[in-house]
Amino acid sequence: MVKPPVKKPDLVSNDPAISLNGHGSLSRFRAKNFLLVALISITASLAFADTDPESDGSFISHKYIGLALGHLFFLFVGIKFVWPKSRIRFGIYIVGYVILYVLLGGYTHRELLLMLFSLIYAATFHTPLLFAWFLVFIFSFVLFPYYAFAEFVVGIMLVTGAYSLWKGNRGFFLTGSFLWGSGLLVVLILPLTSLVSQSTPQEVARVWQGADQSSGNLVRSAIWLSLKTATVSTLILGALGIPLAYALARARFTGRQVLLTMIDIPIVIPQPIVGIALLQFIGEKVTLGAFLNDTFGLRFSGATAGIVLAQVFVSAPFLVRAAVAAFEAVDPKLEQVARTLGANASQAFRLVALPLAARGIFAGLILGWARAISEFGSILILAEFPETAPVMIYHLFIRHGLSQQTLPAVVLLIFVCLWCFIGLHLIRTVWGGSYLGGGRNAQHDPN
Amino acid sequence: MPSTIRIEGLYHSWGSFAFNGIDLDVIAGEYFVLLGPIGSGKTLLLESIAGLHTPDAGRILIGGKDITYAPPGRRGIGFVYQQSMLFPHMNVERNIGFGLRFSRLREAEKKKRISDTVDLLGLSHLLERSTENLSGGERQKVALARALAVHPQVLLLDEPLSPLDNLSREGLRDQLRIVHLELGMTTIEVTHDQLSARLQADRVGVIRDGQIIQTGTMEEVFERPQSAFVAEFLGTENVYAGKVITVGAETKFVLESGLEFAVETKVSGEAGACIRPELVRVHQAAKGEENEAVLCLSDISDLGPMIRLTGRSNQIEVKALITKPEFKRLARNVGDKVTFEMPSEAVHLFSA
Repeated sequence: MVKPPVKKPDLVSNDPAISLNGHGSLSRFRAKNFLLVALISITASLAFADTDPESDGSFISHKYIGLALGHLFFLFVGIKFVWPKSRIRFGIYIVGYVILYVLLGGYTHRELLLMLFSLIYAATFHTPLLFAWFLVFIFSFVLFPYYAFAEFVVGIMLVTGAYSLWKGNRGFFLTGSFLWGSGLLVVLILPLTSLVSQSTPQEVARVWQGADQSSGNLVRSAIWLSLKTATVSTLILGALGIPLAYALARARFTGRQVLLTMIDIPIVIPQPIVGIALLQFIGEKVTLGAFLNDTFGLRFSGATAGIVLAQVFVSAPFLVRAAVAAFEAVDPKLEQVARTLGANASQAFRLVALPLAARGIFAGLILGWARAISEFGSILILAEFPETAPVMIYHLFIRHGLSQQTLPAVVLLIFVCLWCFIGLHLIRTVWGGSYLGGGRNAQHDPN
Repeated sequence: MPSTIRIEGLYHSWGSFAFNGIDLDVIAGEYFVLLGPIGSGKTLLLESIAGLHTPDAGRILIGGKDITYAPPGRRGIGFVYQQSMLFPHMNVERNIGFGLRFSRLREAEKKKRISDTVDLLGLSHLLERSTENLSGGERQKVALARALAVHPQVLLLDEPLSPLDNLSREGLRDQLRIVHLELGMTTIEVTHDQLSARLQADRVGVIRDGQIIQTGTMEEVFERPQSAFVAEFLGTENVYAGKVITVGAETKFVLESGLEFAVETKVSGEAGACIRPELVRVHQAAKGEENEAVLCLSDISDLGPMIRLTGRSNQIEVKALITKPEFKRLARNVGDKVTFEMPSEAVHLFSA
């Protein structure tokens, strides 16, 4: 019996379409790819982003941005929806659009009319999604043009998700649930996308090169420090957390449930309190901190080691939770069989339990890394300097507010984090793709 | 080289379930079938022999060597679980070769062992396959091959046949027979299916609630059970409680309902009696033989090869297995009176 590979819902995603991807009907609509395309297009279209809605002509005027985006969009949509159907149709689609544009846009400058006619034009191709995308596009540029880009991205996601649900015969209720729940999606995605679309690549690049900063490459070194400390924290976390998770998953001992609950505590404690707790425990003026400093020269407060400590503290629950679940999903009998075949306990762990739990553990590591790099409150208290990226952003905001000093650095940080996150997920997909972890249940026994 | 297995006074508590002093001897090279209902501890006993549980007290010896505290991999055992437990991240070949990773054999020798095992079980066409799309029978064969590749002295099988459909069950049963004939290793199979035991076993043991109640050859255990539980568990449907009374030269078994049987036995006092249903004869009318009872036919079940008749009176209920031609000759239906004859040599008594 051939079992269709079951795709596990992603642990980390703020896009419901991704989790819905596990259902057969949506498998053709690869949400992850879509997210990637969206991000690439955001990155690319930064070139067309408007820095200041009031200015006209200083950068590129509104109208030309709209037109250029329109042409790009038209081409993209055509390739996505019309090209797969037939090449000839795609040709007709292009020619028709060019005629439409020359008549209404280039010649008579009737933009509204052009929009209206292109909508009607899109409808004639009998491809519902093509029409829907056009509708979203035009809608987002007519309503609140300032947020056009954010509206567009979210709108496309909603329309596409709802459409594929509908197409997959998931019924009224599921489609309705999705549309209702997408209110959450709007809250999650709109602020970030609109933030991203408010800086031009030129400004972001200027921040990256540190041209504005009196203190040189402040931004770059802060981001670099964040990446470094988050990675070191994740490695430390893995080295300690994976064995702990294995023990918690396999052994039944008194206090196990208490431990499992305690692991979660960092999630609920407010970040500054974590910082204060660490500071009073290991700060340089306290017994233990002074001892470590004098004996080993190991300083935590106001040092990189402190940043790593705080990051390990806050990200631990994410890894341990994921790893415990991953190990619990591996049948202990598999390890027992390995033991009877001559493996000792550590070989059984290394050759059987670890490879089978690896995907889940790696997902936990990604989450832990993400949590570590986003940590702010406790670091601010334990080790304000050297500055990590979030602390640096905070300082910028305190000094300059919502200005062109702050926003490009914010955008830069968003992009660095997102790309790292996506990179890690791609690694997970490629490396874990051959084995989906479902084999254990491939044959279910009746007892 | 087949080895004996000896368990002496095994104690182990798992909280709600415990072994309270298990003794068991398995002769070198024999096929021993351990029968027991679900929850009787038969898998735990097998896992204890494999070293997956360390007993609280007692000893386990394989080939005369005390291995009570030896790690599972140093006991010379092969283990096959009911659910195959193939490693899902390895293909068939790497599964079979898994145990050889830990041996000091040379690579060429390891290759030869794998190919020998694979040839014996006829798996060569599957080597490159992933374990995920194997049939149930194939999975069990791969699990068996994986256990055999390390050349164990003792093979432990935990209900290897029960997840299979009838056809592949027959196939694997034959395979197990071949493996046992060919390699001659001491084998313990745990099952609740008495058919496996009948076809395969040199000796059987019956386990219940963590206690081995009876061991012996097939005939001993099936024909002469020592308790009502063993008799019922092994399909002897006619089990009665009563008393043995000797009057002169005649020995009689008296049921609680007052019905009497003439028996041949050494048992005396309170006793249990069992009569295998296939040894009960059925007649249209009484023939004047001993131990005849005229009963009302209350049920007729077609079991395929045999017909099972249930006769009932207010004193006794008797089940008989007869062939189809016999049933045709009998020409009786539910509700008719039929004579059930239970020859005294068919009545087996055990002390209660």
